[in-house]
Amino acid sequence: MTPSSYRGRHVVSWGLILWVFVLALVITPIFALDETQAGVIDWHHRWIGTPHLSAIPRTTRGSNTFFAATEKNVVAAIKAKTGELVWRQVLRDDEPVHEIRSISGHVLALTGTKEFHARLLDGKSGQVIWDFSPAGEGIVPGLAFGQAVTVTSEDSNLVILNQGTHVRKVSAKAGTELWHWKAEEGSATTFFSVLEAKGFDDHGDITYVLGLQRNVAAFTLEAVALDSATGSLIKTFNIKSNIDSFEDILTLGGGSVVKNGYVAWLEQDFLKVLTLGTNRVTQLSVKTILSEVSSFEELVGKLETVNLGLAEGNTKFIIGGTVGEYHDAKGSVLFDIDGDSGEIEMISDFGVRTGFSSYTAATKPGTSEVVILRAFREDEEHGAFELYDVSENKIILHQILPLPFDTYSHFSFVALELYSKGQGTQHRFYFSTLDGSFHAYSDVESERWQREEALASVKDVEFVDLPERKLWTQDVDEAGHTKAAKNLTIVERYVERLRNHIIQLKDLPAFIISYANPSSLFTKSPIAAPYSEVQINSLNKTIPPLYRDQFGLRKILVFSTEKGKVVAVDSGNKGQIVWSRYFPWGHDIKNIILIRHANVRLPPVIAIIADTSDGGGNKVMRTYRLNALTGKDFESDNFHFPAAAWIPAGYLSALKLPIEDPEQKTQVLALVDERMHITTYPGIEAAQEAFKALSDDFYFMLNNNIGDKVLKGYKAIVSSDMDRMDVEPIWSIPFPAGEEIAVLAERPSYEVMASLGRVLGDRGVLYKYQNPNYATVITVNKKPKHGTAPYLTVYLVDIAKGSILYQVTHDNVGLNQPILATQYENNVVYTFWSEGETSTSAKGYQAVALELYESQFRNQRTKSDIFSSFASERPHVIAQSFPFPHSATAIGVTSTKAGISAKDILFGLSRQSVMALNKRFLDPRRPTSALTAAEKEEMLIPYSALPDDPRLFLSYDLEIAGIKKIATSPTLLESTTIVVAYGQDVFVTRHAPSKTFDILNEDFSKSQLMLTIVVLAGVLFVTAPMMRNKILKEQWY
Amino acid sequence: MSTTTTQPWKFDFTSVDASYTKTSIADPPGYIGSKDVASRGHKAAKRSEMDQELLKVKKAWDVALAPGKSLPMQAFMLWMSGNSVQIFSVAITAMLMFSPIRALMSMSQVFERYETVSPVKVSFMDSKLAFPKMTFVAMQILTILLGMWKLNSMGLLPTSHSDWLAFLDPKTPLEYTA
Repeated sequence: MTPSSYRGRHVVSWGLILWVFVLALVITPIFALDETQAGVIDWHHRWIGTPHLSAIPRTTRGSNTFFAATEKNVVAAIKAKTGELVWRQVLRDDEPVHEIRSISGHVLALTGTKEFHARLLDGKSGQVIWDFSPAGEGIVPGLAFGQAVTVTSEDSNLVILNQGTHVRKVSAKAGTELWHWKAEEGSATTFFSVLEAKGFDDHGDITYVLGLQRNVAAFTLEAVALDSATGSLIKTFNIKSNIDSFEDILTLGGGSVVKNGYVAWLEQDFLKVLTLGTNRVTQLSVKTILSEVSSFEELVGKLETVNLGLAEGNTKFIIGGTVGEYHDAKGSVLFDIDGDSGEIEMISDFGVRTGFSSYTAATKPGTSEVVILRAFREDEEHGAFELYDVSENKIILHQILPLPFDTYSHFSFVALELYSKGQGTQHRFYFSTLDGSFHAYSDVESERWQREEALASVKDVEFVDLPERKLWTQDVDEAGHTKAAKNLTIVERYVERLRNHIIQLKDLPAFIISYANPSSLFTKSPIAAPYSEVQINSLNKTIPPLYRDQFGLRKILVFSTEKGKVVAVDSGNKGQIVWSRYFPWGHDIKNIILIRHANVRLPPVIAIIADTSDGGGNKVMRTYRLNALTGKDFESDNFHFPAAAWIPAGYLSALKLPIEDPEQKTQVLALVDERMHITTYPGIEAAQEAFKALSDDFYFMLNNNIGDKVLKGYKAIVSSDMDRMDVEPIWSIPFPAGEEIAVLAERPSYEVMASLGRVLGDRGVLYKYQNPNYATVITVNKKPKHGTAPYLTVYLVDIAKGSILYQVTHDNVGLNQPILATQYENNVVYTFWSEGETSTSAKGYQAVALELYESQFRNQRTKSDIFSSFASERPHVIAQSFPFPHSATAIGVTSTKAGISAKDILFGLSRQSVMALNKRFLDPRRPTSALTAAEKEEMLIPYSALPDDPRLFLSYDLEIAGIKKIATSPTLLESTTIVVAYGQDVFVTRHAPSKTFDILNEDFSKSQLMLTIVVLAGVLFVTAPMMRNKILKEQWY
Repeated sequence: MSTTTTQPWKFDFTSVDASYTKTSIADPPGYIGSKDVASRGHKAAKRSEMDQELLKVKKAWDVALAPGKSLPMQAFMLWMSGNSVQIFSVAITAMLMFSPIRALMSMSQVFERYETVSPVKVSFMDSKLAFPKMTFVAMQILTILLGMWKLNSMGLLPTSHSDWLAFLDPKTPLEYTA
């Protein structure tokens, strides 16, 4: 071998080493979310809320989209076949939808309270085609009506009624006003409906405006006839009547100049019908109805009118009523109006059905024959649809569908679509249920779907860690079936384990191949699946048991909703719904608390505490205990700790105690009811004794609400009745006159303080104020003190002692913008809108950071192993405010397992995104002058406004509507925290405030590393004998 | 190579017989016969011994002061290397810390040459090398102190509160609130 080839080899191996070194340098931390991670580590559910209004474009072949308006002020288009969201328009909180209509494939929506809007939205994209909003007109305060719309048949323009007084004809194409008629100023009449119908005398084309004139005890009906072409008043009809409520009136018929219009209403003992354009009123006495209709034999209460939601021109209507001894059924009758005489005709008795009945009607495809749908509960497990064909005068379909009562409860809204397919007629039923979910039931099985819209009104979330697979398999065999609690001996258990391992051997080749396969090493993460796959449930889907992943990133998120429904969602699998439970009859879920983590053999348990009322209207606090993995009641053998329990008084508070129940290993709660009694949960003796031992040093606040003028602290005392404890007030802080609580912030439920001080540039330490008992209270006063606008005051209050630790006032605060506060460790962050000192000075959002230290001097610390709130130590507070570039609606803070990672303050913004801002920016020690050497050493950033950097957005370009709260939970990785933003949409992501320092970067090329090692080993193998030869040769000289 | 083989050109003076001097052959240059030494005057011998002792002590002082002489140079080097924690400054400082320790360990060997074997047991303080040895130790300690000063200025000594922060236990709250 020649010397030159030797050198060549050396160069190759050194080159390789250098290459590995450079490779190591290339691995740099990421600063924003990588494109490939979008939709992989996060998911976003777009919810619309529970629909209560709908519009279906009229087609004979079936429409592709379903337009809905919801309780959450959303107008949305949903794909009829799959339930996917096509588009949605999220309106403001003060902009409820009064009515939507489908007009030639587009949607007309009447919305607003303070500001009335009529908008035409494009059916395909949801874009606003035109927006008609008369200035200065809202709705009549305190009235549920006053807005209406009708389509005029002649020129297919719209007549819009607004504020109960203004009637306008608006061009459907351009949204421009053609004419405007306004009721007389100061008139006692409020109008509620408009209708175009057959005229009278020589007036052919009349628009009738129907109103209610307020009398001493009731309303009388007034009909105003306007010329459809010009809007000029022709005649006013005052109808002698005595109506209690707007809900007793139906507007029927009309819709064209050749059809009569009618008004039907219930008035004391009569059902009356007025033919519009005349003074002719026909009537039917309620007595006659009751005697003729067998359904109403057991009628309790009044009869009521039912709006079928049919288009103009139809004269059918339904009168219904509650029947039965227990008020648990509905009876109903279908009526029609004779076109010539205006007489009321009874057409059919719909009979009595249990539960609530919801009605809707549609016309057969291509005809104007009306089909009426009645939806009701068949039994505990099923709902039912009855389709009544008016022309054939019989029930043409009785469809039963699985609809468990304890998950969905009753129907609250139904919509029906009929379309022709081949020779026959197909049906599509859309319905909402009381639990908030929205469903579609089609004749075609693949077109049945369900949206869990209860999640649009999430109140609270609890994180449940999953059990490890190893632990799980002890109780569950390979197929996922739960074994009976076998009492196996050690030998049997060993044999079982061995058998399992042998069975698992069959996966070994695939496992090795997956490792050896180079493509698996080189491919990147999979592309995010469309959200719709998991957002919409098909009805019969089984979910395999869930296990914890290596890093504990996968959790079950248990959401409690305002609807009384509890929904558990898998945080890993794009938010797949794991289980849901509905607590019917006005359960106001107050707390949802994980009382036991997944333990060796014990499943995690959550407690649900709800405020309800019993049949007699008395308030009752109810507690439920569920297995957090399945949602089933968690039964224990203990008689004193049942799965469901109740306390005969209203809910006040549920407090987590640092006590564990020795039997079930659950965390003990203290339930405070309105009688000011404390009950431990569970109520077993051991828990009570432990609580009594704790009660001397246990202080708490109760029901401190937004708007309160006093802050109160309480303590538990042993009452004369040995089974319970009483609550005793021990301190109160009355705020100065005019101030009321606007925000309350307490420390997060999970908090570990990793460092007890803050290290300064000169290696000195500012010791953190370690008081776990302080809370932040922000009060507002509408009356200005020094400035020109309202002011707010921030109090840091010690809950144990009731003393104010720190207090600061901000003048000139805008109260129309949200005030938010969060606190952790020794930090408080709050934001508000500053109006500026004068009307011309700069306005904007301000974020203020407070940091609490033991002393203002460095290296000074109260030397003690204990902390007592009653020792007179006050913190030294450093404060600084920063201009904040966004409008925030929610605030949160990251939490990690050991608290070592830096903290990010999380903001939910009104621009529908989630932003993470490192605490380094919200640092009150940021120097306002040039940096000194020590400050440089401390790595402080010079003072500036908070950055407006798109890279800070965790939600990249997603539109997360209506964020109300942000919750975080630690994972087993110290660097990573799970962030959940909720309100209307639900957004879940992983976030690492200090970058993922404890795991290899996604970009880290394992294949290259392996390749390098292999090459190096090969080179070593070749060069080692050469080197040995060389050494041997050297020995000779 | 074997060392046991006798080589003819090698001459071992120790094997010379004393009686050999009686021969007329002149003594080799530099060879002082035992007889002559013994025959010299006692006083002269004593004086020469004293000179030797003085010389040894003087040499010992030189050795003892040597580390002190290099101190300014080392201080300059430390100043040049800067206060940031880098491989160069850390290496210099480590060298500065370890070489005095090594020197102290081998002090007895360093001074062995200047030791006078005395038949009587002399206490350390009475021995002539006590002060040089102590000075030597002091000089090494000075060098260590210099190294310490450097470590401190580099922030590697746990002297500030922040160094002990991680070992602090959080305070136990006496009250529980909810």
